[in-house]
Amino acid sequence: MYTTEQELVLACKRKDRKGMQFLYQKFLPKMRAICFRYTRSLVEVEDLLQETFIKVFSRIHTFSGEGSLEGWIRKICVNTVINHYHKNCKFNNHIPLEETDDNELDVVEIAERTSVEELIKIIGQLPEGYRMVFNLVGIEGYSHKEAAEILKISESSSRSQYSRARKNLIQLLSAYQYESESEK
Amino acid sequence: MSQNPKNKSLEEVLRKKFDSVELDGERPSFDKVLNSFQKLEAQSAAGFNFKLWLSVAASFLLLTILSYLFLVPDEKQQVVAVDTLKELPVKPKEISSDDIVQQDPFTPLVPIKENDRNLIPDPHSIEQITFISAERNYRYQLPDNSIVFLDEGASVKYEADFGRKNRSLQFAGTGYFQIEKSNVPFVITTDRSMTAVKGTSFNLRSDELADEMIVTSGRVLFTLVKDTGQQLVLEKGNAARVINEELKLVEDHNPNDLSWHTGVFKYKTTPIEKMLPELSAFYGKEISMENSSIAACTFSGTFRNLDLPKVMQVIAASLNGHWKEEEGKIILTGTGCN
Repeated sequence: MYTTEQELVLACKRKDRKGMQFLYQKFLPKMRAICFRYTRSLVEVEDLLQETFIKVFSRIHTFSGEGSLEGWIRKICVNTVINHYHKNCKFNNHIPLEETDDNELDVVEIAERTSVEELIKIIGQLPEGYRMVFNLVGIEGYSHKEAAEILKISESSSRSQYSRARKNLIQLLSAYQYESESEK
Repeated sequence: MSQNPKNKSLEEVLRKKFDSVELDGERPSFDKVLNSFQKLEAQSAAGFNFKLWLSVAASFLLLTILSYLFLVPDEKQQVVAVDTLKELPVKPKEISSDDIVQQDPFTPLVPIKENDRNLIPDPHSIEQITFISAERNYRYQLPDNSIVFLDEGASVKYEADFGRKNRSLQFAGTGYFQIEKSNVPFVITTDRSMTAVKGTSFNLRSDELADEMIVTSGRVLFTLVKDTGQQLVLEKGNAARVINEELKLVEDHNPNDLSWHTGVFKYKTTPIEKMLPELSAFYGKEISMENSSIAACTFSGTFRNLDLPKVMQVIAASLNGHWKEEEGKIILTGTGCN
């Protein structure tokens, strides 16, 4: 229907309903996967997705065409998630797990074998603050400086939270393997 | 930490895995998103602050409707209200007489009708905070220092400016509320009922079938949202239920309705068959009887935060029987009543 991304963007700029629906359906599943990495609640994910696409439609005229459309939507989605996080963050409980020295190489192997759905669930078990930092720096590829700005924390605490998030994640992944083996 | 090449690889694996993940699901529907977007467009095109207008309209509605609560004959409260009025006289220019509903403090509230509810802001036009509890008895502190213990799946939703001046929220599920004392009424709305209090504690359950209110301290104004706007003033120990659009006082409510929060189960000549479903729901394990002859046997006693094996031990002893756990299910055995 839309041979190029440019055509699709133009249709959305014209507020053409079909174009908007096409864009929505094309990117919704990916954005949903992103939201689920940040929050555990299904209802929250629905709200976040709705907000993301409303923003996408109302700001589409600012999309210059430099860089990919998906990257641009992804950024709006992550920003929406983080804004939401800021609104709620006074209620977070940051309860770090005990720190341990698990063997990292094993964990990488576990991660390779584990399905994406399971990995999302495992990341969801991280304390919220850690989860935000890990998603932004580890997965989205933001620098600590950028992540610190977005999350309104200092760069050094972004680093320390990140390293603790990794340790927790490694523990969770090891525990996950243990659980799935004992189920067999 | 991140300089270590070994560490890098975990992120690499995850990034690769997450790069093109798509998750399917039904909601939100495109129409809903488009609708909200168009509304937003229309508002900015109209060029006036719809949001502000809606908030003002909503505050007026709440203020007038709830003025009753300020003026309930409660000496201390009344003095405060009068003093405030003296210090801060209402400026006649800012508020027209149409906005103020003159109300005798002793007449009941004006019922909320469907039409009036249109004045309540569209939930998408104001920033809202939603919290859904993933665990039983989660202690959630609201910005005004009120506490609500949320059962698994219960949710609270409130506007970003919730605080000392605006204490209204939307609620679903089961929750035990401990409301911080204040002159500003604390208002909880569900699909069926509206609860207004000043500083009390109570249990509210709102599920697919009904809303049920049990007051444990203070006084609660419990109102039917639909049509008649029927309302009840409930005091400590009172319970009421909204079912099939009718509000009724509940004369003998089950004292274990609060057990999900307190962990305390009280029984007085209660048949075993009535006890088991309650305990089963609380402890998350299926509990059955091997022999139906014990179903009608009764039990009296109180369990205070006991673990399931202890509870089963006590019940089994009262039946001269035993209990066992097989494949995660609890089975109660016994020959008959004591």
